[in-house]
Amino acid sequence: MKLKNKILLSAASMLVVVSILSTVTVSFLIGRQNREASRDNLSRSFKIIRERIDSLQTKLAADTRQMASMEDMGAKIQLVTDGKKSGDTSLSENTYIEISNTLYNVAISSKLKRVRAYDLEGDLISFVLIKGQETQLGFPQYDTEKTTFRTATVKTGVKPEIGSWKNSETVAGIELKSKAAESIRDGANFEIIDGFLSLVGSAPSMAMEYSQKTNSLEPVKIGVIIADLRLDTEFVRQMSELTDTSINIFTNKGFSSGIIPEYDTLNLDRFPDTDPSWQLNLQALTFADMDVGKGSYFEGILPFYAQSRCIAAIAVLYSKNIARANTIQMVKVLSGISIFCILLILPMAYVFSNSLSRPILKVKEFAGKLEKGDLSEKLPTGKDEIGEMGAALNAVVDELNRKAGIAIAISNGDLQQSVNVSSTQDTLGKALETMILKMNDTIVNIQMAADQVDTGSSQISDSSQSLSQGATEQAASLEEITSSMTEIGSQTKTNAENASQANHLAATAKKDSIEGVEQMQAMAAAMNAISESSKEISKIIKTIDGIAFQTNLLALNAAVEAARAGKHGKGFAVVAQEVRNLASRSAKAAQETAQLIEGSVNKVDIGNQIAEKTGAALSKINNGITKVADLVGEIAAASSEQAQAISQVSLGLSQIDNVTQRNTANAEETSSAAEELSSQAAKVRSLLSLFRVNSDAIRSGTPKAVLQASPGKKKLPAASSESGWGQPTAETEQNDIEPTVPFIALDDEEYGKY
Amino acid sequence: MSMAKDIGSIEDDLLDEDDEDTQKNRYFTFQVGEEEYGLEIMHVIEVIGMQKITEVPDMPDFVKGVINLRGQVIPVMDVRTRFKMSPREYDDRTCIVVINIKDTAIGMVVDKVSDVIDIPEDQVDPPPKISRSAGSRFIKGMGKADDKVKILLDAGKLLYDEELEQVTSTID
Repeated sequence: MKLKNKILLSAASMLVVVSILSTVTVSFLIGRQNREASRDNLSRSFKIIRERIDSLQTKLAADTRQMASMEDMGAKIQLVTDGKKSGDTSLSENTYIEISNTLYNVAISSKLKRVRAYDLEGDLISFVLIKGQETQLGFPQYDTEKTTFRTATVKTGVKPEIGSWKNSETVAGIELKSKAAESIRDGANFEIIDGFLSLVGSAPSMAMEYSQKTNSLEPVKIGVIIADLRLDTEFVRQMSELTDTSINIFTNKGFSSGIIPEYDTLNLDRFPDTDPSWQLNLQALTFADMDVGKGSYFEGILPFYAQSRCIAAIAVLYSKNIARANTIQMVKVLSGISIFCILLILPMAYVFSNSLSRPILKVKEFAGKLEKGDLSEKLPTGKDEIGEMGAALNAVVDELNRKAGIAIAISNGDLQQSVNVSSTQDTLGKALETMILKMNDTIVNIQMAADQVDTGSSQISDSSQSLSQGATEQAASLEEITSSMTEIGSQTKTNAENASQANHLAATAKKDSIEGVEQMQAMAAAMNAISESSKEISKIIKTIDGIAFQTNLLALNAAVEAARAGKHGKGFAVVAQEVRNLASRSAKAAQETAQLIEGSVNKVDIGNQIAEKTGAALSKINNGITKVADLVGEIAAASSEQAQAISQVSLGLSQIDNVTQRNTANAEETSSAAEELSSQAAKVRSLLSLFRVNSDAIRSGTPKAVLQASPGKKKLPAASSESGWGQPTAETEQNDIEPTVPFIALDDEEYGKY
Repeated sequence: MSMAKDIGSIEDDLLDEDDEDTQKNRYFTFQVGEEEYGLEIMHVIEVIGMQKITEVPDMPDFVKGVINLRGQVIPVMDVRTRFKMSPREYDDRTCIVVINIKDTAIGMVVDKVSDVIDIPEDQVDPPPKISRSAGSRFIKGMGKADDKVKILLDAGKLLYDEELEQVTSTID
């Protein structure tokens, strides 16, 4: 965006913002003032309404008291009460009419709606009902069977004639009994009657009665007068005109009367119950905003209480339309002023911005030429800020011209130039100065380095020759080591073979020992079998012994028999004797055999024990052999690893041998390369002589001698550098003069090539 | 039983005169404890091995009970108990010698039976007069044979008469 447009736009937008802000602020303030004024207005209206109701209340109380006392009312009430008690009301009819007339007169003059008189028992005595143009007044006729009314209907304000009294059954709006007439207080209270907020005044009627206590006539309460006054549409209209507001009255039965019929509901529940000592003058107002139909209003509400409950409320509405019209007017005026200001200021801003932007365009063109390197242009000068800027830019161009001259001289190899640094911030000047200093320094250092390279290369030549000799000796030693390693390797292999053989033997021994254990177990089993058979044999022997015993017994019996047989039995006795001998011999033999068998059983037991011990010993041998086999196996593994390692060592040694041979060759090549390096150093020195060096700028301690000595040694190389020997250096000043100066690389990577 | 008894008595009657001399001085010997005893062969009926003894209540303590010998029920008397010696467990060498005392068969439990030997009358000495103890009343004499002395028993006195009666009557 152009500078001109920026100035114009900023001026215009500032004006717009100021006008909008001022309009909003002013309208807000006016609105708030209006609101407060409306509230004051409403409060004033309520003050008038309260005063009016207060005066009505006072007047009603006074009227009621007047009715209760005027024209000997107490005595008349006492008279009709006595008549009622006696059951004959015909006598007191005139008195009833008088009472009714009295009440009627006062009601007319005080514009009351309804007046009633009750006796102390709560029975009706008289009533007056004013219904606009018509008035009904009357009294009840108490009878034991049925109570009827005697009423007269007249035009309001006209006294009833004697003949206008008629009997009637009922009268609307009049109760025969009043609830607890005695409890009605003296004064005027609020009540809802027929949907209207009403003031109800009551006053006791007194009569003189003889008191035995004081022995004189004393006043006593004889009846009650009750009068109603309605706050009806007429009251509302009057108050509206008086306060220049709209007034609506709501009761707990809904809309009662008002100026704005569209506003017909108000919920009285929002007014909480209060204590019985409520007073109208102390009741606070409630304010709110209100929209009814098309109108918009400020609203104030005054609630009315009776027996602690809210029974009615007066809403006073004040239209907002006037306040709104005022605000709109104010906004219109302010907007007009703002537009006028914008139209006035815009042309002025245009002229001012033009005078600024023209010289700035010229400076822009000048800067464009500077960018392209044209230092010949000059700017016009003047006395204002833009003219001063032109002069300063001209000075910049002059300074640039001077430094360009110095740079041209340096490019021609003249390093003896001096630079005037303009200030500490003069980067270009300082850079030129540093450049000259550093180039001087560098070229002198390069000359020295070339000398050192010369010396170093001859040293390299010497040391590479001795290196070559050493490598040859190393190769001879390596051969000897290799033959020794081969010998060791063959021995290790033999070791491994022997160890594996030993391992095999150990395994065999282990198997044999296991077999031995098994054999021992088999032997033990066999011995057990022998033991078992021995027991069997001993049983058999016992049987044989038993047989021998039995035989002996038989022989004895035979001997007995033979003895009995006398001389015939003699031969038999001899036989029996022989049999007995045989039996005893076989018994003896059996006994001996039993002893032998017992001995053999014992020996078998001993044999078993020995077999067990042998088995245990064999197991131990087995374990030992297992361990031996493991150890020998480890030895075998270790030996074979050793053999492998030795073969690797041999391999490594042959690699070392290769390297050593290569080293010898490299050392010879290095020697020849060092000679070549010496000739390249001489060439560098000749190239450096092209620079005119400022000797004051040299910082190192001993350059002078070197500089003087170097030309003598100068020797141009016979042939140019071989390709692949090095790379050109990156230093630009050298490139400017001789771009083909070779660089001999001697680091590790490059060295590998030789 | 009665038939076997009859046969026995018939045999006795038949052999009485001829065999008297052959049966004389012949003794059946047996061991009780350490001592050897002899019994005239004419009293011995037979020797049997140890059998199951059925105990009979209300008997003298030396009568162990009765056995069934081939259908004949005979009482059995323990000689050790009879001689007031300490009792001993019966083993496979213990035998019952069935003897005939006054036509009554009775078994005698002895430790071991030995032999049938001849002891001439001149080799028989009267029993020693030192003891009047109960044991000595059964001894008829002391027979000498092969440098050993056999105590010869009087089979008749092995039981008191009354005791024997009691035993036999119980069996009958």
